[in-house]
Amino acid sequence: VITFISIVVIGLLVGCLYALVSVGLTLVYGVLRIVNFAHGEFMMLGMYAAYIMQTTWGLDPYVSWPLATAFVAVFAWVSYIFIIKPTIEGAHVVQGFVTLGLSLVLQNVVLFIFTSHVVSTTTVIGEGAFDFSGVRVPYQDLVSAAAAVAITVGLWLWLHHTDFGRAVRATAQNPLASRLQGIDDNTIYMWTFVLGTALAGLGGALFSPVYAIFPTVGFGIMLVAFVVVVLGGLGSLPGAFLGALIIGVVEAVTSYYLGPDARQVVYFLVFVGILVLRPNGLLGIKGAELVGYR
Amino acid sequence: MTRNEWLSVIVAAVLIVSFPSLVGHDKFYTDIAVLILIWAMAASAWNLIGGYQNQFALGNSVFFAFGAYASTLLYVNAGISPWLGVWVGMALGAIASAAIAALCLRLKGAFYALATFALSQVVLILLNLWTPYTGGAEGVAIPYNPSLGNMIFSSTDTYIYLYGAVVIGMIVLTYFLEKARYGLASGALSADDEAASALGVRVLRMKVWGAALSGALTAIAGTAYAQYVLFIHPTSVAGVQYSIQVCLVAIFGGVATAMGPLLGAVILIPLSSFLTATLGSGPIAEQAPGLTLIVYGFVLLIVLLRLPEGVGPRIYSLVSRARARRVASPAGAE
Repeated sequence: VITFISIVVIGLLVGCLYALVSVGLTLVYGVLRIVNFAHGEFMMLGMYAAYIMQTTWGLDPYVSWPLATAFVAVFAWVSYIFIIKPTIEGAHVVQGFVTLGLSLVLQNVVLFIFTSHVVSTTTVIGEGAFDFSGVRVPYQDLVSAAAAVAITVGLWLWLHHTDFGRAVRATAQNPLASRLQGIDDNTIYMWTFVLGTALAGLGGALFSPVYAIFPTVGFGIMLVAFVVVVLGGLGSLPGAFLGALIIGVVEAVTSYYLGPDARQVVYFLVFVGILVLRPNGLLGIKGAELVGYR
Repeated sequence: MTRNEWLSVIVAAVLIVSFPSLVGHDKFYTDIAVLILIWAMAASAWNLIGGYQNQFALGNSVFFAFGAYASTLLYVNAGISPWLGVWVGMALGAIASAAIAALCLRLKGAFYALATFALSQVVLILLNLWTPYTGGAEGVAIPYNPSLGNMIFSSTDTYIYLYGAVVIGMIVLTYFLEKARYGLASGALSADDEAASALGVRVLRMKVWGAALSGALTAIAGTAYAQYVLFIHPTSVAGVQYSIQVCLVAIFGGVATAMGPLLGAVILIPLSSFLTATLGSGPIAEQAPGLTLIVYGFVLLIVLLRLPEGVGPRIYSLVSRARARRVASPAGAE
């Protein structure tokens, strides 16, 4: 029982990283209607940003995360201007492939600069762990997980209780009607993309002490994030968070009992099952996949 | 088929027939020529659903892998000729593809892409895991034993003529389908499937048939790949790169055009081969890993942003504009 609880706890902690990445993905999809295949690469950039700041200035990732997030946000803004904006009205296939092309470029530029060596960051918090009668919870994981929860809640509050947040939701629901109310949809699209993508970078920075860093790390996490987002209901923030925890636990349990390869088969089958049986996801509203963020 | 279409088929056939004399005997160039034809087949097959039905299919590697593994395993384990094995692969590809289409019927755009992509990942992992049947991650080698019956040839020219004939066949088939009920119904449902259904298009049937045909044709490309390379393993035939590259080839050439896939392959395959050869190996690659894919990624981005409709339609519009100008100005008035 102790082992099982430990596995579930590990799953929940990993789930919090997935949550940060997925929340950004679902926000971007919900508002811009674009599936960003390069989303995981922005998380990877956040990880490397934290790593560089540690090796050059000795900054702790838990201190330098605002800088790492800002760095990723600038990258996201540049990508929006050059790549996303020109294709926002384009065909799905073109949108999908420009983001795939972006992901290819980012992955390989990082590979070019840092080579494929696995690196990591360290924090002052160190390797210690709480011990709840046999169930170990490392401090680092706990800090990152707590931050993930706080950020998701903050984002939700922002979307629901500020004018800008309301404008974002209005644009998601009906771009034309919101434009008629005087909301500039271009501005909304840009800020939503930058924000959602920067969240992935933030997740990368926060989880850099507990996750191995290598140029293609984003791809695997991005796949998981897609599963999470669809499971929770595309465009739904609470759904993405719940989905992330579920997938984290499912992944931890199956990889312990069936081996790490079976893990992927299981969550991809869960994914396809959900797409087919309930394409709007657990907390998604029926038809929301066509209408957008609620 | 119209006169212009026949004309373009003849031009394509002449181009393919001239491949052997263009590329000479250097293995590097002959490989490129054969790969162009294999990718043209795969992209033509993708085009039937990805282009004409506007379904963002990102899991065609499944059928490619079925084609490659079916003919190879039957030949290596049971001695059954690939000429028969290819039919088995086509049947498997058609069934799998129709099943996926029926499963994902309600999904559109990005959702369809994600679902097909996830399924292709499942197949990739299973191919890796079922070592006793598939040879696992190490793959399967086909013993080099050239003969017509084994579909292994000592001369690359034979491959070029054989595969070239298949490519031409697929192009002609696509031209016929464009005008047939399939093409018209597909065009209608890709624009708006509810409206199409209201007008009497059987959307489910069209999607399932289109997918089955596409799956079967993709399996042919899979067998063709296995018979040329004589070595297959899960990442080479069922990897993500396959599914991505096949869409890219079709998009480059121009989606929903019969000639697009061949045109895309003629441009894109040599490009990626040259990039790999110049930047991806030797001292440059050691000092600068990933340079190939950086350049490739940038080319991809630029083409998608500047010419989202593909190279083919652009050439066509340039040609017809030039012709219109010539007709407008009296002969010899230049």
